[in-house]
Amino acid sequence: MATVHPEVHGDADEHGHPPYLHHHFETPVQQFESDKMGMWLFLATEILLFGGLFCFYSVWRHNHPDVFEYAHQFLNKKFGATNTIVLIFSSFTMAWSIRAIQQGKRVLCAVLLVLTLMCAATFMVIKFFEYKAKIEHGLLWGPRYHPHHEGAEGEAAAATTPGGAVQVPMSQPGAAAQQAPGHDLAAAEANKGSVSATSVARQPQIAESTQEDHTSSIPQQEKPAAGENMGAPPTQIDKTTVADTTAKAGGEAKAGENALKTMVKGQVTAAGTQTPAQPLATGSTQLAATVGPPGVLSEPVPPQFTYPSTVKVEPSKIKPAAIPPAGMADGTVKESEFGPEPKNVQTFFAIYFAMTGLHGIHVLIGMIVITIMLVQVLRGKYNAQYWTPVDLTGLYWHIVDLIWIFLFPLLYLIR
Amino acid sequence: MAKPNNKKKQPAPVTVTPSGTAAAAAHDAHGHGGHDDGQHVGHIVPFWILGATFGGLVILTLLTVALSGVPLGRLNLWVTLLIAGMKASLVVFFFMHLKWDRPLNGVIFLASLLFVMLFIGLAMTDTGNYQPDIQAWSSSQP
Repeated sequence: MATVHPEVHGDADEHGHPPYLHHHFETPVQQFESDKMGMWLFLATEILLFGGLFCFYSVWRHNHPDVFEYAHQFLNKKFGATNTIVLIFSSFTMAWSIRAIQQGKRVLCAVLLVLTLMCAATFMVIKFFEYKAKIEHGLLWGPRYHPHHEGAEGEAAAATTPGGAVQVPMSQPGAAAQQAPGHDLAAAEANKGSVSATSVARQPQIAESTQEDHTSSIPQQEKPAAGENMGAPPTQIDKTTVADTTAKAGGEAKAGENALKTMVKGQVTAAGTQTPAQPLATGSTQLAATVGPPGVLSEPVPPQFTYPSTVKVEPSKIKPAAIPPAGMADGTVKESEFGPEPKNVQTFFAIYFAMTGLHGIHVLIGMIVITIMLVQVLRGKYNAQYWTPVDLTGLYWHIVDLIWIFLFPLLYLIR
Repeated sequence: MAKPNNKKKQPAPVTVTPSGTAAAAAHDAHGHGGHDDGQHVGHIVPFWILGATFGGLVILTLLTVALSGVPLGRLNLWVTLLIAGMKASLVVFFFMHLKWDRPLNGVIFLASLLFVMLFIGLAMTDTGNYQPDIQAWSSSQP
């Protein structure tokens, strides 16, 4: 960075060397063009950095169109569009502020930089609420994906069920059927009137596996006792623990034993929103216990996932493996207000968080740099003759905007 | 290369050097804009261009949001990308001054895009080539 003196204004350079000109450059123009080219080189690396994530996106979307069609509905288009406009406006004020400083209007430049900062902050605040809604609904990546859908209002109407995300530490020995959380949740949802009373028949069934009894513990997700259990007593449990089969009988919630272990890696959810009328659920959820003899992974019956004829969605080209790795789809079909859920939706949210998260980090960095520029402008470091750092900051800010211009339609506007 | 054709080259605070004219004449040979004396760098974008760019971006954003509700099948993706590309061009050319920048900066930018497209393109080619295997495997699954 050139050592800049505020009092530069030309009078200092009778021999043609203004103070902001580094000695290894011949002219300010040469210095400026070099700085700018360096910035463009950096921006190129930024594009390549995001390119990796766009590649991730492309391959996954190609192989699993249905996952994208389904999952993007959980993103709020209005938030996304608002953020787009906010970022575009901030790009506008940024570009304008550069014009201002080029004309020597320092105050105007400072005001515009402040406006840019405010837009950036607005963007981050909106992003915060989007992330918050995702987290509250359990719409996260990999093994953390445990959706609990409410009504059909989508995330905007985030009526969250506290405690929905029950995740019990998996390391405690001595399993016992842990029904209570499920019951509570189902009851809570029923009270909200979002589900018919029959949904009680489909309370979340919590998978469990005892570490002491299994040489290998298999993470299981609770499976909604959908279709086939329609007429069944509400307390039926589909899940079996090999060693502890008796514990499941009747499914009495052993509320008192909640503290006991079990690894409940499931969502306490989705089940609540299923409607008995959905034809799809039938036959697609054979949940009968899939745990084989101790130490042996039995072959679960892979459910046939079929869309109702009314739904036209290109199916995934890759079916989930019969025995899913931790965090991948289990054998059940769940449903949300957007219909039956395809497998491996969690990967969409992995992509979503990776891409918007990295972009968000860039916004934060941009805010820091713009703040530094603002301070220096206010201190009079830049003027009509020397404003390169402001210009380069602008370039960075625009590339952040540019990335969002692609992220927004690709994530929010899939259909 | 700065194109000297924009009307007011904003003699912006033309405070500068006493030797201004002479230097300008000398440096003009380098083609850095008409009044270049080696100290006036960059290009000031006329305000109306900034405003028009902003307006264009907003309109395109609204357009892409509106179109997302229209079922065009696979076309949706390409229409979306086309609009995003137009928006990106607006930003790059006008907000980022590339229109008036040295061509080398544009080359750097395009090179990065080219490599990203190569990267994604090759990955997608690979994905496509495995489709028969995937189909075979999928249909062999119960």
